[in-house]
Amino acid sequence: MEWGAEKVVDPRRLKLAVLGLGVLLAFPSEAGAAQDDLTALPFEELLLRDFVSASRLARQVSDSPAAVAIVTADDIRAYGYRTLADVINGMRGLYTTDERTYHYMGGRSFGDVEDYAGRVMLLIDGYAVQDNLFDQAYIDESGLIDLELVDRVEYVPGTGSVTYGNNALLGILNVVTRRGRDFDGARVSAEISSRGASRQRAAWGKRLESGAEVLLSASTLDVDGRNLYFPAYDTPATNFGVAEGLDGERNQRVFGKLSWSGWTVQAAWVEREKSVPTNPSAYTAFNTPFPTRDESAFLGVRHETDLGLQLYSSSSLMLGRYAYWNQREYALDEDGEYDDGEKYGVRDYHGAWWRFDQKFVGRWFVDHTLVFGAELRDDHRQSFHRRFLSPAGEVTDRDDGELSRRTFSLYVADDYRLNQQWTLNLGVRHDDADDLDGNLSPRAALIWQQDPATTWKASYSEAFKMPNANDRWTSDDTAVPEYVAATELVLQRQLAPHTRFTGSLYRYRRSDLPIENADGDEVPEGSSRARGVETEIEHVWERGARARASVAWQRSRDVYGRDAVNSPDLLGKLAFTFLLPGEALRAGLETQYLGPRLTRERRMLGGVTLSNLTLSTERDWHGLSASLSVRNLFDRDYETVSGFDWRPGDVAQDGLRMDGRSVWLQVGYAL
Amino acid sequence: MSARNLFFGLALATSQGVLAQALPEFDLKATYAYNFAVLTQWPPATRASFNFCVYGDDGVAEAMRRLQGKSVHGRSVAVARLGALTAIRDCDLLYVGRDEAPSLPHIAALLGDAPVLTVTDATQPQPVAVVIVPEGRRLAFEIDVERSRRAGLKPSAALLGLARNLRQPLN
Repeated sequence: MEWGAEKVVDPRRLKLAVLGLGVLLAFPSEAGAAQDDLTALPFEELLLRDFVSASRLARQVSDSPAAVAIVTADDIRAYGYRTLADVINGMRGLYTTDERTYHYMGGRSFGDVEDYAGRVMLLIDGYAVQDNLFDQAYIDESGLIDLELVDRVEYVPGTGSVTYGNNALLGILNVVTRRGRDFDGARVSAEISSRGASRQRAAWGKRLESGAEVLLSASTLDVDGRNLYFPAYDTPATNFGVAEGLDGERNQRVFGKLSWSGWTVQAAWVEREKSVPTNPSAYTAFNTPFPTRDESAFLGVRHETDLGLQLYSSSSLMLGRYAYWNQREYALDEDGEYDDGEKYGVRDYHGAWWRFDQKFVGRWFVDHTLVFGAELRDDHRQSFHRRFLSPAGEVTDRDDGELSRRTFSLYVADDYRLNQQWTLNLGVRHDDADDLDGNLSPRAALIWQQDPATTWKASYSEAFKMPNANDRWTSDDTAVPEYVAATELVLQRQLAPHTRFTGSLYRYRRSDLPIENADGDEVPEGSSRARGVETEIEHVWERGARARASVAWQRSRDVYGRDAVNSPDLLGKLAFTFLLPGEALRAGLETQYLGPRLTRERRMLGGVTLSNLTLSTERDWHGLSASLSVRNLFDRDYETVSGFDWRPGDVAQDGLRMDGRSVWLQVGYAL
Repeated sequence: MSARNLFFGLALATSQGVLAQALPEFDLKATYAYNFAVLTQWPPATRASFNFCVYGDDGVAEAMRRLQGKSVHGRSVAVARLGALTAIRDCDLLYVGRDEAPSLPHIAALLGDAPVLTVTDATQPQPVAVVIVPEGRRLAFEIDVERSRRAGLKPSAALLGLARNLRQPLN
């Protein structure tokens, strides 16, 4: 492999990895006998053979050209996950950064807070739900989906532009919602926490006699503001570094889904208000109210049908909107006055779009599955309004921008089964936005089913990210797309009937990134590299006891060849859940190691191991269920990397202290 | 315990060869469907292909794709994974996954007496011709002869001999 030749992996580690793979392969696989043509066996004989039950999810994992990771509703419950960020933190090779306003996702070459938006795609039942101003995927309480509605979350590492076009640069997070029948009635629940949070939810779902399926849900969250201490502001003039009661958060969510006879209509809405306790710029005043509001909504209509036996059609229309509002207070200047008499800054941004996608799956040719289609997306509203207000609240200045973009895309992919063992997956997508040159995103993947228990996957793909509306507006439309080329080798091996190993080696090269040239100007000519190894073992015991352990090692360099910011070399995860004696209660224990990582001031934050423990009722008792979680069980004191590389005084604010131990209690009742 | 120890512990705990004879569930079910087709007689057909359809079980559909290119009753096998019920009368054999069991009465109504051999692995009594049922670590099957007969299908004596019991038709 070319990996060794380019010394992209430390030779010592490579040897270890090769040794590890060798050991793995030395073990006989689960279904040792080669998978011959079973139709050649007499039926009498087949009837005497034992079967190994296989889950649909396992099949999906082994058929996908990538090393897919899946977290199910059972996991969400067992480990007490409350947000997508919690789910992501439990996944191999991924981590999140809480910047006290939003949570950002990191992994595989991206980690810097500013590096996040638009690089990971978030889908809800196949609908891309990032906003169309920042292209950000919301994974915290500002996100559209309450986790109670989630059947599973799939993370597909690697580029996804071949399927999804823009924004699927580094990975795809697909949230699949539950069906009405999974609720089969009404369910209410309430949650409180030592953190001062309270949440109420109500959901109703059913599969009706007619075959129609309905799911409706609403929830609210209210989190008290707390006093948070920021050492960089520890001066008498700035309240000795304490931001008082500014960390509060509230949200409301509504979700509905109706499916009948090939049609599915779904809608989701969320409004989240959060007060920002940090001080985002040198011009704003610390410890002053900084409310911010995010509102997202979408309506999706999909029709799936078969046009004859060999052609499947899926048509979907999505209407999306997003609104962002915040108000900040500026600091007094050296003369004790407000610059230009402006005391407040208000941002009021709105985005709206629609998207139509027509996809076909053709199975006309033996051994070929052909996927092809077209997508039209119209980001008809991308409006930016900034207003600057006097102390009396009068508008003193304003700055407005109105943008739009229309994108037409065509895609085709073929899954070609060469024989029982080899599958070739080739795909290409062309995206043509009216403000940019057309772009082609190719992917080639070769899958080798060495034996029934062992699958190898090698892939090469290219993806891109268009400059988002905010980039275009703030750069006067000089922002350019950025690109990534990714190479990955994956091994999935069933070591035993209930033990699965997943390993991957990857290399990403990102290009056309901003870099400072010799004249000190920022130009889009930089490129960064990342490479890494990820391994994971999953094992399932009887009665739903299961464990998952993963280790990910990565080396990520920025455009200057330095270690990348907020990109830990090492990540470790261990999750274990089992029924306690008596079988009424389930315990779920997670331990996650986040390795040392650099701040934007290039200070190294120490590695930290965090543990969470959840106890939950295994079955409803007269309709009642409960779950108790302790987050940060051992009350570890740690920092995350902040987005700040400037200092208000002598003390840096490149890290943010995170919460200690917190306790969460949820009680549910099925009506 | 480090991940490494965990891995070696698990790997060593694996008893070797115990399941050497066991087959993946999806492959086994797909092959059962193939045998049902081979061991059943259809009324004379005009279609050139013999169509296996799967609704509501992607795992079985994927496994069934391996039947493509074979021949059943002198017709070459085509396999279709259905996303809807619009084309089910074009199927010769229709496999309905457990997930779509609630649709079975609707499917039975749509098919009427059309010569389509319906197969499912759903657990509750269902209006289908053949049900695959787990029996310990093996898979057995049951045949509803009356339903097959109404559809103009004739299970061979060999098939009936292998069936666990011949189910009484549902009222």
